[in-house]
Amino acid sequence: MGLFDELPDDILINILIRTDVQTLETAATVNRQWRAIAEDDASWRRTLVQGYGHTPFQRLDAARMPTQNKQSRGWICEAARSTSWRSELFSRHNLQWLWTRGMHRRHEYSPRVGVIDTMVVCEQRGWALAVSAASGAAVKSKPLTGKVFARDDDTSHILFATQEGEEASAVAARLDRIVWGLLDGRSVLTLLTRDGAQRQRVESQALADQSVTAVAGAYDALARETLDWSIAHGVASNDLIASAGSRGSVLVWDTSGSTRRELQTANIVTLTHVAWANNQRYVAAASESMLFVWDLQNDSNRPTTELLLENDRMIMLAGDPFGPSFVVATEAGAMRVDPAGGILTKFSTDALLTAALWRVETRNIDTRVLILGDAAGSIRVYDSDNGNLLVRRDHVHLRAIAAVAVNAALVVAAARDGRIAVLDVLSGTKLSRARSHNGRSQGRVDPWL
Amino acid sequence: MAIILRSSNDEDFEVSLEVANQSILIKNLLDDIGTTSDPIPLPNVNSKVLKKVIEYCEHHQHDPPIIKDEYDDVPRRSDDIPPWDEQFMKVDQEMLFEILLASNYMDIKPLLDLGCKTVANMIRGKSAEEIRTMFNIKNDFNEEELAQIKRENEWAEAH
Repeated sequence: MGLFDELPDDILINILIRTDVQTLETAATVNRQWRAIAEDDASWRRTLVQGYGHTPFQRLDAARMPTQNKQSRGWICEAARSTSWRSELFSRHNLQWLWTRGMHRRHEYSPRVGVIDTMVVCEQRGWALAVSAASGAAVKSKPLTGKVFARDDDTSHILFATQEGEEASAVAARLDRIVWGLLDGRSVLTLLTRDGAQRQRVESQALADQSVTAVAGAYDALARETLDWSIAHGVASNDLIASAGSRGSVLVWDTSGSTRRELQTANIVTLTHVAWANNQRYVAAASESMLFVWDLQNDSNRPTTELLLENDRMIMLAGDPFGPSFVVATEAGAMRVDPAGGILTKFSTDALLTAALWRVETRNIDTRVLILGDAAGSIRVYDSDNGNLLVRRDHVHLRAIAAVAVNAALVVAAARDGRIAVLDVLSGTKLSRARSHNGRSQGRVDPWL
Repeated sequence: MAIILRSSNDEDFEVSLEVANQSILIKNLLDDIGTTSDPIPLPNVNSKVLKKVIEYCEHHQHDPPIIKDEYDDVPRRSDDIPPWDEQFMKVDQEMLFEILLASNYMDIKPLLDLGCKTVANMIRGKSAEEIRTMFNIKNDFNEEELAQIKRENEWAEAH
């Protein structure tokens, strides 16, 4: 018997976690103890959960991850080759290592689009779309490098703009499409292609005597999950859009521009937010003090539920595409409600909320996370099913958070001043801050300079 | 204030409070009973190893404290060992093993991590047989398990 035959399991795990996936494969053939540890995926999952304090709410996947350089691509591909937690853990460690060493050098930048109302992060290529209704423009950038996609002239970094004379007062964005709500009561759906050129433009009928104050799309759930720029995509005939107006109406229209329904509230109120839930069945809209829900299986155009809200400014209204619930976020806090107005979960906040995002993930792992940004520039990530706080990071920005987006690896947070900060999704660490072995900050390390 | 540590073979070592506190085991003990001039027994650590552990703690006693939530998300890598630590870990296999056990027992995380990094560097890229030889590990697989491993390797090579 050699000494190392008596190595305690936890020390052996501590050793193996510092190697790489190839070495682990070898380790599995050393002896029974090494094999048991290297092959026990449950223990790698435990190690990952212990390390971060919670389970990742979205699994890494090469098809949805940025491929910034060969090194990180190789590591991410390891994760994609298998669904094991072991590869997930190693890939996340390696990505974080790259990021903290400044391999991706920028973590804060300005996409020069003005006030950012909403953001989307591409899962596959890692770029982000920042959209501003006031500017009527969307700009594409790479959060990991801070690169803003620009061509020749000054305005060419704008990926899409509304047409001359159109004033947008509301916007909803998905990776490949933006819906603009206009002051004149019309809504416009614009589809983007991979190179950013505008491919298709669909206009809705106008809401009579009112401007559009909120828009939301209910897109085919499967298409949403498999969205990939390399395959042709376009509007599906069953995609629906809801445009809510300044006098209490909600126009439901399809992607050919035809009106399907015109929903009405009993009061003449300005609807500031609108959302879909449960695969196009429910539409919810909110005014300053009321939440209205329509069940579209019901023939009446009047709301099936009306819920009185505290008189707090509404920040976000979002629906679960796969189930019957909505999240309502106001300045004072957030809650998850069912279509009948019953409160399911409550989320508290220290500072005034200024931005919120509800992310429902059903691929590989079934999680729903709520990301809240506040006036103090902090980011909080909650498990929206049970209300548990998963990640908390203060002072991401010095100003209030204006918009957030998320993918398996990153949280991208835009501040009111139009700047963007990038965080690691599991730990909340701001990326690219290099540290030496003993934990002291060394400032930025930039291997590209 | 000096603290006396007593090894398994009853040899006493006098160290400063700062040095002793790097062991979370001792720190917790001292927090509970207050500082004491009685020797603290360490029945799992012999003099040779304790001397080595104290050498490490004395060298690192002025390191800035690790801020927990900042450090925890630093990925576990093994290619960032500073020169003094690397030199310190140039020991025989028995001492390496004893340092791992002692730092685990005395709860000195930086030293345990250093030991694990050192072993990780030693096994990276090696074959199973090389690892067994290096650490004198017995191959305890039975024939059935060996056949299974052989099949897996063939599959991996073919793909």
